Amino acid sequence: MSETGVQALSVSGVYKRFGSVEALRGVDLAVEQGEIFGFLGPNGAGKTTTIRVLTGFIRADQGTAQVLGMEAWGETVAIKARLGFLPDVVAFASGFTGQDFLNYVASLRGIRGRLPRQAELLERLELPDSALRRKVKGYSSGMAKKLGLVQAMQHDPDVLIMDEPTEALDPLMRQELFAIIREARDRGATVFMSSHVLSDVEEVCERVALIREGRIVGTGSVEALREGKARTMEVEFRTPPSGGLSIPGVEVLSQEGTTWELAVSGDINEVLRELARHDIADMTYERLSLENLFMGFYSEGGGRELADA
Amino acid sequence: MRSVFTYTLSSHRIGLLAVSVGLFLMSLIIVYTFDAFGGLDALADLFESLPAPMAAMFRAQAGFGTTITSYIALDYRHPVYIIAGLAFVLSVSSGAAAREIERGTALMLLASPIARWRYLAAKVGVVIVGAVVIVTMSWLGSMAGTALTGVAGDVEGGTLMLAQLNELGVLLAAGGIAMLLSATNSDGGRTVSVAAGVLTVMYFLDFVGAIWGPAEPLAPLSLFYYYDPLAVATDGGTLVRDLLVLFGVAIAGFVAALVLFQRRDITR
Repeated sequence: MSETGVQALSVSGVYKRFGSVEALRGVDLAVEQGEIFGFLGPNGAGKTTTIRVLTGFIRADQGTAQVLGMEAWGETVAIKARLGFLPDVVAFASGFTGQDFLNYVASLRGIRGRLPRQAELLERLELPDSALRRKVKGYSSGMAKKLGLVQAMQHDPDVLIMDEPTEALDPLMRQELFAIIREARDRGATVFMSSHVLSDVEEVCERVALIREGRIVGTGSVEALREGKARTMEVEFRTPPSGGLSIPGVEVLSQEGTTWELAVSGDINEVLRELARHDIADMTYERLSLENLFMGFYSEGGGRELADA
Repeated sequence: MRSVFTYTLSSHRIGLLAVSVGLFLMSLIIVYTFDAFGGLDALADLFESLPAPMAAMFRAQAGFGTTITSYIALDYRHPVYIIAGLAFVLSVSSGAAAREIERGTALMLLASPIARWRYLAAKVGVVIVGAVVIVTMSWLGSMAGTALTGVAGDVEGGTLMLAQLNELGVLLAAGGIAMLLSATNSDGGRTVSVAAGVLTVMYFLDFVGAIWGPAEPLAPLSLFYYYDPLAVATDGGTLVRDLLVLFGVAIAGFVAALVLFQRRDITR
């Protein structure tokens, strides 16, 4: 994690209502410069609305949102000069070829022709010249996503905000995208990405925030979020405990024959000492995945704020 | 801003070409077939015999005058002229904001460091340039027709240009209304439908106001009330007032569109 102490993105007490729907209910976020930050939440939780507030497409009813120290709504043009943005829906005007589109968005930044970074991104994301000469309306969703990623990154932005960047990409392309994102971070760029693919976020992001019903329910490194959360242990007994298990911090989730699934949230040493009293054939103790963590946050009826790790 | 203007104009070039060439040919043919109607006297008789509603459609209740200039100007009120010009204007205006938001293209393009109002202003520029091209081509068609038929000396080109200026006012006023609808909506289809509906109601308001006394006070609410090319060709009519109203509506519509588009949420 690159900690500069300088905030690239900050959202403070942001509320947004659309008619009777309260989309954001006091969102607070801070992302440091040079950080890769993941933004997680189920559909309708407020991810895209938060991103649109940060990118100046939506004005917050209350609270402040800043990018690189500038007001997201009032100074949006100055921000966008240093911002790369990939929206959740990648759509192009139908008359464009891929190259026309890239040239057009470059020209909106006052740049004519191909950018030096464009060629590298096209090559790494496997968008050959033959594809760029085709009309974008014939693009597959994966190709459209790649073209959207190139337009977001071709000008080497200081801040990259991406809504579901890995959607429609195959596993190899995801890995390539992560490499590009890490390189951007190494050059000092800040990356803020939302995703439904938790393993992707876990792989590339240094810190994450979880949003539910318009509120941030957890913020911190993945490790910090894991802290205090149950892990899954699967134990295969040669002789199952006849009187059951009574270990502090352990809950029996299921029993299938001699195989028991346990949720362990207490001290692991205590658990192992208790289990050692029994005849065990096999045992697995899984590192808590972000997915389990995520489900935990959304099934508890409430989250918790965590200090940054 | 120049990129947005160039791209938008380019993406509407086929529509603009079709409308402007079509109206050029129509203007030319109207003059070219003038003799087929039996000349000015026969046309005067024809219009005197028309039922009032039919004459009102052309704003020719008091006859059409007795010059070739007024005959040509009269045809500028033909519904085809109005519909063709408005089709182009509505297409560009509805696509300017609402359709781009609906398709999701606005998010990608407006992620660039360009103020929203400047982005939309470039599209307003395309509406203005397109409307000027359309009326100019209509006028050129009329002039080409007079040259081909050898009656150029009998036609007042400057007067017909003023009549086309009157049509330009209608197209831009309609463009202003449509642009305002587009800037405040996120559905291109609905924007076109509402704009077309508003203009249709206005057209019939003007038409009914001309033939039915009780509806007459409502006619000034219509843009088409201020479009009277025949009056321009005969006695000048109320051209200055008409242009002030039409260009006033156009400017108000465009300015309101720029202001509201800058301030609205883009929520698709």
